[in-house]
Formats: sequence, structure tokens, C-alpha cells
Amino acid sequence: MSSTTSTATANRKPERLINLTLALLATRRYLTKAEIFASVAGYEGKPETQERMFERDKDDLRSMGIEIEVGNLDPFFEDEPGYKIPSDSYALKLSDLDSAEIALLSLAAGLWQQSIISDDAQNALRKLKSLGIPADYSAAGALEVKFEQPQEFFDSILSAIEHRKVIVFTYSSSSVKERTVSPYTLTLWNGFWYLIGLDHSSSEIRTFKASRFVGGVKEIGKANSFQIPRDFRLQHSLFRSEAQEKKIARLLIRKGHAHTLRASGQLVGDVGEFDRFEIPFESATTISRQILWHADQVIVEEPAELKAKVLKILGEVVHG
Amino acid sequence: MVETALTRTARALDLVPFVIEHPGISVEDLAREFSVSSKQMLADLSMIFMCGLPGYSTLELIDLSYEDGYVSIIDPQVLTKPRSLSKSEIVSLMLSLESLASLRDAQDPLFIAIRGLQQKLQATIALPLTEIPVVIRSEARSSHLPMIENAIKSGSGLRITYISASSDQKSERVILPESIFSENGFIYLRAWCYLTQSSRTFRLDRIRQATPISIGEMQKSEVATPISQDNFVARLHINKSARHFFEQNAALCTLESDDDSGLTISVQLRDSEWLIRSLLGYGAQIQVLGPQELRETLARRALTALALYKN
Repeated sequence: MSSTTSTATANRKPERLINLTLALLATRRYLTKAEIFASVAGYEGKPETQERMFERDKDDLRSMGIEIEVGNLDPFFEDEPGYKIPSDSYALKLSDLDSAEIALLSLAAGLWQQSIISDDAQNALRKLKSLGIPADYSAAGALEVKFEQPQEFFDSILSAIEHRKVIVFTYSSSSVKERTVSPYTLTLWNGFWYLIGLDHSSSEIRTFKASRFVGGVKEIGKANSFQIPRDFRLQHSLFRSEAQEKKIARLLIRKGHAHTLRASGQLVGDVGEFDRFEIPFESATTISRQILWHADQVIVEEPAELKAKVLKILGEVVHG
Repeated sequence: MVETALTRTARALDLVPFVIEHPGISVEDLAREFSVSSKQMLADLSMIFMCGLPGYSTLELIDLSYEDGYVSIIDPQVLTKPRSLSKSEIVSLMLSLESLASLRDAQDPLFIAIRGLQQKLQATIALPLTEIPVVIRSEARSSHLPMIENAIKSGSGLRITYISASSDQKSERVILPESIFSENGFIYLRAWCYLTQSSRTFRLDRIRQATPISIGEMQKSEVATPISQDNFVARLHINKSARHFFEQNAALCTLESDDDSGLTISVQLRDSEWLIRSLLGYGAQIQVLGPQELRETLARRALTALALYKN
């Protein structure tokens, strides 16, 4: 008996919200509060209680993304507002999707697990499946997409970005330290997740690799405590276009060798058993590893800093 | 976890149009689709059964049939259409589609299809770029992807020109593609290789040319001697600054310890060439703890390379 009572209590609010939604969707004219209280099931008690209930319910439905239109029944008497839900704003309008597109959306929505991104995508997918369009996977490709999965603390970061709240987390790089950061964006870059934000101790925009977070993320302070600079995506190195700000390395590459390096640059000369190549690069560390991969088949001519770096690493290996 | 009344309301509103399109669906399937227990799904369904339009007689209530565990909607009242997508739902779909698109060339038919779909989604909502909290980029793209996917689907072979990084050889081989996947920022193709007579993994960005071939040509492909598959194990100490070496090659590595001085790992490989070439680029950032032979090989190669600069 007691379980029935508790079920009835648990159902009371959702039932009332559903009944209100149905009533406001079905009506063509605006319904006044008096009409709602008299006809919609669930509005009981004193007038003030009903009033409070209705105000909360309206806010709740709006927070679910349901648009409630307020209008006047009689244009000459503005004191009696009425309510309705316009059916064209309530219903999903993406009806011109084809079967191949439903298949793509299903694949996309299945990419992530255990994150608010995945919950939202799954909710969206269910609505799309309710459109009655069958999925056709024949054109969907064979590539299995495996990215690093979002971690549980992503939800906190996403909410902190949305509300512009500062976060604190423990991060392991050259040392394990606590960081205080204004989060700007999460990035899936070449299959790995990063957080980009303003690091408070250095006052610089820094990139943090998600897999190096130790434990979770804590929000501190109030909402709207910072602004995301409009142009930071343009300035941040991860987003800079590939052609920008590249330096040129001049290398001698032994004939018939180092095909991967050759493919990334241009042949500019013939020097006996070597070819001279010019190869654009961004990071000296990355290109020095590519060069050293080929050991004695590649010689660095320029720039001098790159040459020095390669010589230093080789020296370390000899003495390692 | 206690569910809020709003979560249940939202689910109920979405349930009705979903069941309309899937009449006779089992309670178990419905529960799985909405990620709740069957018990919760039954509670939701009986709650919906009590809701309807003012009047609330049998004519105005939502009517559903529930027989032997299978559900159909008889009268949905006004809940015939699914609700519109919320802003966060659209953002999630856009991001997921962006992830799929990020691995494809601009000429790829699927890339074009995904972009078209994103435009349809975007048309339903006004969303400034700065409001999307996630950015997705990938440089692992190959113009050969659609051809390889077709070969996998039709079970046909390809002739490829491949640059092997570990041996620095350009080779032409006939392969039968089996599966293709993205991982660690690269796209890999698993295929039967007729040249080595073994199942091999190829990195797509190292495939220079690819052309479809006939079954007859495949059968004529040469039978070569298989390459030896001895196991090679090395122990390494990695400075914190080179931690990404472990992260990128996690599949090959076993982590032994991780402290302030860095990581100690062991790496297991088919042959040592890849490791030797990788380690040359790290210098003092990665120390070889063993075997001694690997340390000596590294030092020897570094000396030969240094000698080039002496002339």
C-alpha cells in the first residue's frame, strides 16, 4: 500500500507537467490561468498554491526547451494573459532527412560514451528515430572511428565553460601540481582531448592534455567570472592554419633514402651522393625527431638552431 | 540516483512519438533505447496512461496497449511528433558529425554528405561559433580512404605503393584490405599483404598510390618469404618531458613505475628497428635500461651520424 502511495506522489508532478503540455499544445486560443486551474488535472489546493505551482511548472517546461507563448485573449483587456504552446515550435522540423543521413547521425551519436555529449546525442537520436525514417548504412563507409573517450570530468568542464566559472584540478606534467584555470574550450586534436584555458599562475593561455589530469575537476568562485577572448582561437597554436609561420629547414638527404622526409619538402639541388631539400616545419622538436629517425642518411644544413639541436641529441645518445 | 520530475516528464513526452514509430516494441527494447530499467519503463508507461487532455475521460486520455510485454500507442492525443531538438542536443550532434568529418578529405563523398547534414542541423538554431565549447581537428586524412572503404565492402584487392618507415623502403604490394580504423591521430588499414604473405597494418598517410585490381591479378601476386616475427623486449626510462612517447605507444608498452623522476616502461616489439629509430630522436629524454645491445646499437648509429658533420 505504501509503495502505491509513494508512486502516486512521485508521479504527481510529471503527470501535471505532461497534462499541462498537452492542454497548451491542443488549444488554438490562449488559455487563461483560471481555465487552466479549472480544467487541467493536478492543480489542487488554494488559489495561491495553484498560482505558485503554475509559475514553477511554466519555468520547468521552458527549461526543457518547450516554448510557452503568452498572449492576450482580448486585445482591449491586457490584464488577463493567456498561454499556449505553438505546435510548430514544439515539434521537430528536421523531416527532410534521408535514410543515409539517419545512418550517419546514428554513427555519430554512438561515438562517445559516458559523457553529457553522449547523453545529449543519444536523446537527439531518439527524437530523430521517432520521425519514422529507416537508417540505411550502405553508404556510411567502413572506417571505424576510435577516439580517446571523454572522461567523466568533462561534464564539469563543459558546464564551467558554459557558466564561465574558474576550475581547479591536479595536473601531471614535469611535476604534479594543482592548476587554477579559466576554461575556454575542449579540443579533440588528432584523436586526443585537450583543455585550453587561461592558467592563473602564469597568466598565459595553456593547453592541458586530458589524460594527464589526476582525479577530477572542481569549480570555484562565481559564474561569469571571466570572458573568453573572441580571437583566442585564431591566436592559439593548435588552431593556426598549417601554412602559417613555418620555418624552412635545409637538409641533405642521401639518394634513395628518407622517403617520408622527401615527400614533405622540395628538391632544390643535387650534391653527389645526397640531394638537397627544403622542408617547411613548425616545431624544431618534431622535425629533429623525423631527421634523427634517418640517422646517417640526413644532414642538417640550416637553420643553425636546428643543426645544434640535432647535434646535441646525437651527443646525448652516444653518451647515454 | 533519484530522477527529477523533469527528466521523467521529458522522457514521457519523447516516449509517445517513439512508440508510434515502433509499434509492438518490447518493454525491454524500449527500456534499453531510453537507458532505464524495465521496471522504470513500466512505471513511465503506466504514468503516461493516466495523462491526457482536459476532460480526462477514456476519449481524452493517451491510450496505449500493453500485451505480453509489447507496447503500442492507440491514441497519442496531441503527442504525435517528436519534440524539437534542444540547443545542447544540436551541439552534441554537430560535434559528433564533426568528429566523423575530421578524418575525411574534402573530396570524399561522405565528407560532403556530413557537411550537408550539419547545415540542415545548423539551420534549425542560431549558434555562434564561440558558443560551441568543443573544437575538433584532425590531420590524419587520406584521399585513398573512399577507395579503401569500397575495397573492404566489396572484398576486392588493391595495389599500393607504401613507404615503410621502419625500413625506409618504398615498396609496391598487392593487399586485400580487411578493416580500417582511426587511432592515436592516425588512420590504420589492416590487410592481408601478398608481398609478405602475412596480415599487416598500414598507416594511410604512408600509402602513396592505390589502385583497385582484379581477382585474377591478385592470384598472380608473388609469394614471398615471410619476415621473421621474433619478439624483442626493451626497458626504458622516460623523462616527464617525453611522457607522450608512452601515451602514443601505450599499446606496446607496459608501465612499471611512474614517479617524479619519470616513467619506467617495457616495450615489446616484433623487431627493434622502429624503436632504435624513434629513440635516436629523444637523446637524454629517454634512457635505455636494457638490453645492453640496444644501447650499443644506438650509440653506434649516433656516432655514424655525427661523423657526417665532421667533414
